[in-house]
Amino acid sequence: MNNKIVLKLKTPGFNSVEVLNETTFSNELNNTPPIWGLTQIRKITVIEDSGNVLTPEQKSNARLLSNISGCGKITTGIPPYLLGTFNIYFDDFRNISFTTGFNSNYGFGLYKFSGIASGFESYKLTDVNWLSQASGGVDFDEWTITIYKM
Amino acid sequence: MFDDFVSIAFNTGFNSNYDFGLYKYTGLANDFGDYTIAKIFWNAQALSDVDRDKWEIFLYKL
Repeated sequence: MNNKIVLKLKTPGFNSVEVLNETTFSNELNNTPPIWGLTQIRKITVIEDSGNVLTPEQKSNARLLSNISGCGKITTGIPPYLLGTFNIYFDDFRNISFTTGFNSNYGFGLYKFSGIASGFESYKLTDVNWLSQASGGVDFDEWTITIYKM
Repeated sequence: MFDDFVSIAFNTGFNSNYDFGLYKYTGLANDFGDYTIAKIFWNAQALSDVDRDKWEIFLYKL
């Protein structure tokens, strides 16, 4: 382990039957627009851990936690824009988080995010490459995470 | 958000009766190549429907 840690991960795709989904859709109240929200939990498979920094328990318990909320008027069952906070969770002390916005009809492809690593000591700033390619219930997304020492 | 891939994100907290003024945030830039850290200056000055806020955003390479 030198000035960076590289993790390669695999998760089920957005529509996989393995994904635990919980959708919120509130009723209008006193002319307040309804709130659209979605949380997801996806099991992470750790393919590579360049610095051998993760314990067997952290590898086994790794999850992708997603918290997605809607922006704009709901016309087709989902708002036009979405805000997503994502957390690559290894345990309550160690995780990587990033935030972004996207269209509700976003495309598959290679997304490149900047994130913050927590609980990795002096390794903090993180490049998150998320190859979102899953279109069916059995497909997987591929991840390359690089955490840099500051 | 510029498209589904390129965006800048920041988080903060504030009073519900927040003031107008120059807010300075630190954010993270998504998919700007080596430029990852963002300094965001948001001059919130809009008082009516036709006013505009002004923004200056600086992205830094690490």
